[in-house]
Amino acid sequence: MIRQRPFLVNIIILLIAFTFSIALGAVFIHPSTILRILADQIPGINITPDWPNSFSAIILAVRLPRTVLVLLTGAALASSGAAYQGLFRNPLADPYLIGVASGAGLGAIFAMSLRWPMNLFGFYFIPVGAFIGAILTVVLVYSLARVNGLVPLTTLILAGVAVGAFASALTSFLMLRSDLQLHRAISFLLGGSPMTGWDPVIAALPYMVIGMGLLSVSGHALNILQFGEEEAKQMGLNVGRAKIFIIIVASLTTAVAVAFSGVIGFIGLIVPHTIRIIWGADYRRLISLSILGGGSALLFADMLARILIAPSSLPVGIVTALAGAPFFLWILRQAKREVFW
Amino acid sequence: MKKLFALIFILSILLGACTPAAPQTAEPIVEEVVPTKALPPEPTEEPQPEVMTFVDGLGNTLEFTEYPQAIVSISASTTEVLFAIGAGDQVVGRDEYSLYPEEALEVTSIGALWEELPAEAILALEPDLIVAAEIISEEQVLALQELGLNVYWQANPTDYEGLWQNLRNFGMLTGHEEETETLIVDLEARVEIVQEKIATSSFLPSVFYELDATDPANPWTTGSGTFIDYIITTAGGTNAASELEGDYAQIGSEALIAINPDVILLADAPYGVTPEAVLERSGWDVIAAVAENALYPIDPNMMSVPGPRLVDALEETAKLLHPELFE
Amino acid sequence: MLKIDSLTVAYDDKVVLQNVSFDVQPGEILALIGPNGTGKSTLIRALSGVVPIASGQVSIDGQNLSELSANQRAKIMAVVPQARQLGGAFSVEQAVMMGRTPYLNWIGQESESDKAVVRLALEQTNLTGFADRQIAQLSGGEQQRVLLARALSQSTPVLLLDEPTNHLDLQHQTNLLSIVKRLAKEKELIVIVAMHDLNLVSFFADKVALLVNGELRGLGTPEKVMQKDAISAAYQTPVEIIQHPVTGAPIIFPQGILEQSE
Repeated sequence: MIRQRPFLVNIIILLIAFTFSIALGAVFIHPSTILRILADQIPGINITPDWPNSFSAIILAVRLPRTVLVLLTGAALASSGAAYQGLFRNPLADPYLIGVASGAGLGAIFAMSLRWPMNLFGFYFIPVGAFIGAILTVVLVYSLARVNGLVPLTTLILAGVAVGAFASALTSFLMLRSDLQLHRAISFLLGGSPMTGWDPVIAALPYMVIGMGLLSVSGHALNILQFGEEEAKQMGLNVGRAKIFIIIVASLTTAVAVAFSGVIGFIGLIVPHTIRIIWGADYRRLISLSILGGGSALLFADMLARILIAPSSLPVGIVTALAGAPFFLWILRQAKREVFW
Repeated sequence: MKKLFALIFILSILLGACTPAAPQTAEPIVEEVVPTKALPPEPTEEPQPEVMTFVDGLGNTLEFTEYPQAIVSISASTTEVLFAIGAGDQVVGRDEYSLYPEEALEVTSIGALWEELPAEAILALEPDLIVAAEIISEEQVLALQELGLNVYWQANPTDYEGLWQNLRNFGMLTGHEEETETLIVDLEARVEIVQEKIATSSFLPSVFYELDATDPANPWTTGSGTFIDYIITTAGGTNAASELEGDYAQIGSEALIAINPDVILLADAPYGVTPEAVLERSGWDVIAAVAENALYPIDPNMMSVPGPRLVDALEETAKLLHPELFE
Repeated sequence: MLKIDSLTVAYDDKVVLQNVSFDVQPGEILALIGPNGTGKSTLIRALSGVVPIASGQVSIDGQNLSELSANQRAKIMAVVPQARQLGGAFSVEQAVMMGRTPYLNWIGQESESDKAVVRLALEQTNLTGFADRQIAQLSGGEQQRVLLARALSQSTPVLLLDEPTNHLDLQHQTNLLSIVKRLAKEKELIVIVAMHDLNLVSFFADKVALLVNGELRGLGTPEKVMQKDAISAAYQTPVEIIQHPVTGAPIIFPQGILEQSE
């Protein structure tokens, strides 16, 4: 039954994750109160508050925006990961392969080491720095890998590794030598959001939605590419254009996600794999399912991050790594038994 | 098409989730401005409450009609100060690292602030005021203000005059002005005593303030432009690392040996560093402080938390540098 | 008619195909033969547009192919690539459906007529019962038929096959080739097949092109091209050619065998 209805199953899981995420937090708020607080926000419905003011603030200004941001981030990372795996025909491909994470880290830490005056969009300085860092890195990697107008995938990966290592080194240097608060830097690199509230959601939403939408419709091209670039061309796909399109869209989507949520690993790797094992490798729906699955997965990871050492919270990147590594090993075992690639 | 269906569904969830974006901030928890002045004592219809205005270190203006009774202190120094001036009863929340004085431990902890802002824990206490020291960044202050909270941020003092002013600010803020003045008078007197005694000595020992020497070839210390540097100077010594700047400066052991400090203050003693351990570091035995065993563990919190204990710090440092003056 | 005119292809300053010219009529099967590395695969790749042409022209019914986009070209020629282990978690039906790519819209929506074409291609290659099987689990012969079905579903007037019978056992070799021959005649396809098994060539092809070091050394019927001296020179090994007692087609084998059996 689960196999027949992938979308239904994933939507249900996502709804569950969403609900739990709003229900969970340092302060216990009864589910019925939560529902009434939310219902009160719908225009036309007015409920007389019988809950303390702080509860409204907690639900509407803290938990709800955080849940939405986590959902978007997980969805963006998973769908980009699926696209990268399809493009590179490599199970280890993830959205950070060509330097997005290391570039974003460098950009963010660089922004933190400058002291930007707060009144000039101060809040956005770090995410914008991260985003610019990510994009510059991808552009650099892409230019390095281009040979005669073609971009061989292996060269792209190598260039990504090299540039990524360089960016990481620079980041470490900045962290050591500048006067910044190391905690913030480390928090970002481990998956800590540099902004809170609705601002990052509103800023990131359009880009993420557009990016994920474009990735979803690239599924057909990705399917054909599975047979190799030559055969794909023989079947009529404009391979060069498809590659560039997918790389750009996946990189931008990931860059936005990382800019507003820090560097969170494993989601882009694990979620598409899992979906592929259960529901097959037709990229036309693998990407959409990864959007749903990625949102759920990161929501669950985020909940764990908030519960494990309450009232403090772990950076969610630690939880995804801790959970992701054994999961990944399990997948490797599966892979040995059948070719699902 | 399943794909389109999924996309539409996602979009509608997201759009639905965004409708409450309008009321971005919660209702302010404290009574806001009642912009009338205090009225003269003539019979009127309704006496208007008096408004107190404060401007904090970031230039933010806060207004209260009565002294705050539910203060959350999110830095160690502000907690210490509040308790020192007698405002401990007005504190309902503290950060995880506010561990002094002992009474502070009984206050609810809201967690640490260098990970994510523990917004829920703070909001749940329904505070009317948040106080923060320089360790809290402007961004964090803004994030708290976005939640509708009043935040009073204060820069760290650079000398004792600055410390008295900080204490006074808090005294006025919490309605403990008299107690604060008494405290300041006492602290000032203690500082003066140290200064008088130091003036009688012409010996100016060179002091190395060791923050970390996990790598003995490149230890960490505190340079000039810091309060610790100021304490050392006021206590009748010179900072061996005065050529370096800032709270965390790294010095090579060769340079340190060349400077040859007379005294080493082991601020890493709470992490298990003992004078015996220092004696074992290769190359360090030629340093005067090591040769004469002038290696003294010291409490780094006392030395660096910008509160009343900075006076204790001065006294203790002076005693270590000039024991003969303090028999 | 597919016309190849003075085709020259070069990689890295090395000329791989030199001035190759021939044409193929609808319903005609042309076999490309020649020793390994002589340019057979390159010719097929050049025709299908994945390798750039240095000079010369390829045209079909007067239309110059280099003026076409990849999509347009894919509606004219389909390629059955060399046999290899197929990966990818697709079912047979999904894999064959990919042949319909040039006709699908940009998000890959399949219409009923696309599905009908795929069903037909599966029938023609005797794969109807395999439609839901995973391609990775099929045998080599079955996988080749899948690639053939995919090429057929591309509904093109031209079919290019690159050594389709490598690694296949006798049954699957004859199976595949007879399917191709039958369809070529039925649908009047233009078929070019690169082959290495010379004896299969003579039973299967109408026309033979002998390529040696990128040059066309022979063009014509199997009997005409596969002469003892020409083949021995091309493959650099002495061969004997006898005639099939019934059909008269040439049968080729290395000279050494005759000597050893004496």
